[in-house]
Amino acid sequence: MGFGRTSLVMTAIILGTATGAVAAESAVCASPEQAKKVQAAYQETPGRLPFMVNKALGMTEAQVASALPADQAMGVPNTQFAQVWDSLSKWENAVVLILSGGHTIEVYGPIHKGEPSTRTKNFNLSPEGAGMSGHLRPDLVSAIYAVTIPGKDGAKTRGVMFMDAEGKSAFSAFLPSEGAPPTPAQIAQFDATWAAMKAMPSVCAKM
Amino acid sequence: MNYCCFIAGLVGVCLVPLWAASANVPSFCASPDQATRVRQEYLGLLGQAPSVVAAGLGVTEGTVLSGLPDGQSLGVAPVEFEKVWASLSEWDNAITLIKRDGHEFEIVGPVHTGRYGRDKQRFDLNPVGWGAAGHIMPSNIGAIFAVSLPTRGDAKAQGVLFLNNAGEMSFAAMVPVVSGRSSQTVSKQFGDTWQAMRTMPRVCN
Repeated sequence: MGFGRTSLVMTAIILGTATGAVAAESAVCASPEQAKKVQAAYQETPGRLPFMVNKALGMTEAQVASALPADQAMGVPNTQFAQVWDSLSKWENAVVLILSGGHTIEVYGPIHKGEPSTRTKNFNLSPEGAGMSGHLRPDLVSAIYAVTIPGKDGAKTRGVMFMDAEGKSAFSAFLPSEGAPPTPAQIAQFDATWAAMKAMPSVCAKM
Repeated sequence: MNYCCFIAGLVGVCLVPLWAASANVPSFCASPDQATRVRQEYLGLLGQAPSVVAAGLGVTEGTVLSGLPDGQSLGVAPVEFEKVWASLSEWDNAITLIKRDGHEFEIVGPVHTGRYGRDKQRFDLNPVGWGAAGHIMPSNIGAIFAVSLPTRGDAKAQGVLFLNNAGEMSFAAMVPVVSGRSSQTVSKQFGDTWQAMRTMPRVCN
């Protein structure tokens, strides 16, 4: 099964809240020991997104993502924010998930183009039409992870997660999969983002 | 009962409600001095968001909102969440603002109706069509403020802000502004929300 809207959000509510006990120092990249834990956890129960796993392992979401196999997760530094966003804005549709203050907000629609402000640290999104707009702060993003995680039935959850300084996902964009799997066109758009990110520097050293 | 008991009883009757009321008043509610400063500050910052004024004064948004004059701000207790949300979902359209650390998200679309989930903790929004959906945790809301702030000319910035327990804005539903003016229809619907909130218990004295 893929992660539909409900299962994704419900699990986010249950598991995806703050993990303040996790040290912020190495909040983004797993140590070799942590990586072994992650791999064992996924071998036992595959198909879960990092926010469904990290608390049980005593790690951050970013650390979990960093320890996934290279064909399931890929992390780039925040210096690549504009290029990643440009690629996301070519998706025909997305589910943006914002976890804030215990609230879980979902936004359906296209991802608007954006550009860095010339006066502030903001990355300003175009305010045209439906979907999400606003002002993002790439400097507050510690890492950007693309994930394509296979479930038990082979269906994949595909998305891009923007991690905060504590290694928690501040916001994420997923391919919609509620009710029906993503279309071939949507999968191709995600694959283009994946390919673009693969050409970027990695946020963690290869283990 | 002798006089001592009678007087003690009266004092108790008088003090208990006061104590109960003050126990429920959030710490971010503006003191008279803070309210004076907020109003003075706003004279020179017409149309600024409460967060800007709050940063300038070194206080929370809740302090700024509770320090504004009647007619510009109206704060109600979080127990009124469901009623306020029902009123917001009558609006034709809104701009939902969400703050997450330094990120600010804006979502155009209607405010979806919602209801409490089985656990009675989460308030689930109907995920129909455009706009913000998801799940709200009313227990993480410290106050709800309707604002109608003068900007340039006779324009106003109108909306309903949901503050966290520390008095900072978590999210808000604002009346959309087109070409510098609020949508007339939604502005009228905001007026209905304002009137509904006027009948609810205030969050600050």
